[in-house]
Amino acid sequence: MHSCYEYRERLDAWLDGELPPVESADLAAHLDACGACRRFFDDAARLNANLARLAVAADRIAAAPRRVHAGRYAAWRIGRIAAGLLLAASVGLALWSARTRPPIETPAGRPDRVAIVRPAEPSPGDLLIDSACRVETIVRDCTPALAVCMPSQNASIRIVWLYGPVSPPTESEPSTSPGPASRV
Amino acid sequence: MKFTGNDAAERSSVEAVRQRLVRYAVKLVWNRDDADEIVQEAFRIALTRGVAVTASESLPWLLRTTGNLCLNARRRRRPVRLDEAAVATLTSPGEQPPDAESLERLRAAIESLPAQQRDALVMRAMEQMSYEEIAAAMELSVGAVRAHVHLARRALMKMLGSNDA
Repeated sequence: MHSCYEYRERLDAWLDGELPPVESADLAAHLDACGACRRFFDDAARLNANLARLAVAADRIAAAPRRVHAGRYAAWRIGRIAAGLLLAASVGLALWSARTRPPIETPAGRPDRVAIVRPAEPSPGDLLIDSACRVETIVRDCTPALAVCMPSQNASIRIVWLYGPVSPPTESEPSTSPGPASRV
Repeated sequence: MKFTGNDAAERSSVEAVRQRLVRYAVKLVWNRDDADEIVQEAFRIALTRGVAVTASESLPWLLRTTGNLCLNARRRRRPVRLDEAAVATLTSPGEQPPDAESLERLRAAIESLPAQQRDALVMRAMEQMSYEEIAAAMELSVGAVRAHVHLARRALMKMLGSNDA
């Protein structure tokens, strides 16, 4: 005679069919007498049956002929590559534009920086190109004295020419830093 | 034995191992495309490390690598949903079929288990592997595997509403 706890500790051996016949008979006798243990073992048996059903379902998924997904994922990858190339071309175009556009076309001559802006205004993460065509990344807000929005052949980006920071960079700031906060 | 891909018997045994691993991976990620990619990656790693994929002693390594890759790849894509029609075919004639919802809950509960409990349970209750085979695949002792399976079963019973678990 064992306690309910001791019978329940035999659950795994019972589910795995490893319980010796004598212990199995003892357990069966206990389950006839104890409703709580009967429910416990019934729940465990139901769980085991459902795990076996899940296994069958998984094996069917594994054995089924493959659906033609390759095209869809390949198209998605090609799309990502194309988007990357488009963005690179846009940056290249902007660089070329910044280098070759004559100063006379702007109200204030050659800009100090060119912002290639995807949203409405320059923000951290956008690219900045200085007058020597060195590329920076905006790490905080720009403070131009003047910002001129230039026409772009690519509708997904905006090119903004930036003229001089309002306040000069402090000693601690790198010379390429865009300057303290204020929006374009 | 180095895999050359030239011999028909060799290709056949590689395919058998691949199918075995795909079945295991599907039980962890529930997406055929993910499972195929994971097994392909496991084979790639095996080949770069000189593991003979057709050797029977390599199977534990392959299962362990596949399981680890599944852990990294989970939720990459939407798991296949089990619908009522598919679930109805999973029962024997005369047996009361479970509703798809309860199997979905069981699957979600398995997914929420700690990794070692989940892997041990899947190998034992769904792959019908022996405790010794699981211990070799998981690089654990047989006793540790038994403990993981025990804890996993108890946790599932508790999660699925068994009042006495």
